Amino acid sequence: MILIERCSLIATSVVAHEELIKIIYRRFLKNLEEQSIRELLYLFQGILKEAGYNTECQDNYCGIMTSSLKPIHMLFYPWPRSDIVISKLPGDKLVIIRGTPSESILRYLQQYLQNELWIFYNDRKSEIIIIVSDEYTHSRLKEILNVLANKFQAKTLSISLNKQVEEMSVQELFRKIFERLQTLNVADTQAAFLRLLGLCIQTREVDELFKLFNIAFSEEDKKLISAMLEMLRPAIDAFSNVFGSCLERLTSLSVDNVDVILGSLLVLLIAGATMFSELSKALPEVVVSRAKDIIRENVYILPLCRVYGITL
Amino acid sequence: MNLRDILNSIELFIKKGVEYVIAIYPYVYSYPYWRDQSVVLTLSPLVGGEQARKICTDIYKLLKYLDLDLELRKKVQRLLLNDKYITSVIIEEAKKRLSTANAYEKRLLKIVYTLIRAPETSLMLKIRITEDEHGFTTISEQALNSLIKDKVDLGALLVKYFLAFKVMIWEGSELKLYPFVFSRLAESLSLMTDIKEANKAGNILGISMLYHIVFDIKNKDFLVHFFGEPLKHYAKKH
Repeated sequence: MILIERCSLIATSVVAHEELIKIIYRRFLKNLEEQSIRELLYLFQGILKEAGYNTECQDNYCGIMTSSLKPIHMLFYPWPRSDIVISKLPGDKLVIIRGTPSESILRYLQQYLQNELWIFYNDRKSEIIIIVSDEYTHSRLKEILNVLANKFQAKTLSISLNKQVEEMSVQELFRKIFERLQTLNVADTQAAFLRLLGLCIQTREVDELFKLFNIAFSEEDKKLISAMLEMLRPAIDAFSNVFGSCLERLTSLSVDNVDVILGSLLVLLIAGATMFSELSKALPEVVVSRAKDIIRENVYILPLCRVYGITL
Repeated sequence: MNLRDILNSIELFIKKGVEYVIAIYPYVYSYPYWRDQSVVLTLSPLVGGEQARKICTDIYKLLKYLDLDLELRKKVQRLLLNDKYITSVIIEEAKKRLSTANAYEKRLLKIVYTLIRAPETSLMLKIRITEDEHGFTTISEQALNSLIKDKVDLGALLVKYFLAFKVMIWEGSELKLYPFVFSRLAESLSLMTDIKEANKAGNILGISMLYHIVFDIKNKDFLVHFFGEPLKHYAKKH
């Protein structure tokens, strides 16, 4: 356990500058993580390629392109981490972590499993443990799992979920958002929305603006807009503190389904983005371009956009 | 006296003992005014003050021509960095000493070496770590000792393991790390190597914990469930 000794180094007496050694360790670990992810990616990409699947990969993410419109998302981790956040992105998701877990991981996943499938990979024994829920319906994943099971010694463990998980397909999501958009009175909405944005920046009279906001939008519309704002939040935050506080109030209206955020953004992009382009006009160019960068940088959105033929 | 003669004399000199070759470096790379002090400073912790002064006198007898011939001095400086035999004597001795080093000293050396080689150190601590015109990484002794909390003479430690020598300067003393030793022992003296080896050996728990600590990930729930009960106790400590 050399590493345990190393860990204690940071916390104990030897080093006078803990922060500094942390920074150095961070650099080391980032390098190692990138290298180990690459190895994992090559391995799984190779196996899938052999079986006739195309994959698009970036960082620790791979999208498996299938004949269906929905890609299968794969996320790779070279060691277990407690800060793994599973995106609520629509579609099947595989989380692949190097290491063999103890049994208590089942209790944990029972509580937190969303809509994804976990694979633990022991590189020394060339063994995988697949954790599925008893409500497992990811039929498209079965062929992928079969491919993997042929390559590794595979063990499948099933767990009962504590909660119901609702999965909405991308098409379904798009259809709903399209419907919603069609029923909006676009001209009024736009005008009110732009007025709101303008006032946010100019007057700081946030309460007044919220009255306006409440009059102008239905509950559903608010959700859509706050979803859109959520996407743009980093850019807008950078643009203006005033606007940031305004945003906080707007987004506190809470969007339960993150799929809506992604879905609405994609729909807006596909559909010529009337509202989005108006919003773009209302914001300085630098903010819009930053927002576009954020979208481009988002590894989950990029392969999806490719699937739908969207050029960002 | 030409370079060939000097090289022959140095080779004979080395046969007297490995500390003799160490002594040549502070002698040749110091400012002439400080060279005796530099030799004594480097050697005293290894062989004691009296012996250090004796070796210094021996070197003077050997290299006194250098005071008159600046060109020859420069040639000797290049020779000490590039001659395979001389450098290999130091490299082999460094390897030998490191292989028998106790765990604590080895750990200290690795930390110091890693800190000195990291570009962040000079930026964050505002410590001057420079590379001199000959290619020696150079750091003041005072700055070096500020890297570590433990009361250890790090300069003496680096000299003891044949990783560096000391030179006197107006402001105090400096450590100069041999570049040829670094290039040969960089792997074994790097903390990165330890991490890589642990990863290769499948020490996932160690790597994960280290990752959580250095990236300040406070929540370790997933980790605790992944590794089971033993980690719970470990995680609590950190």
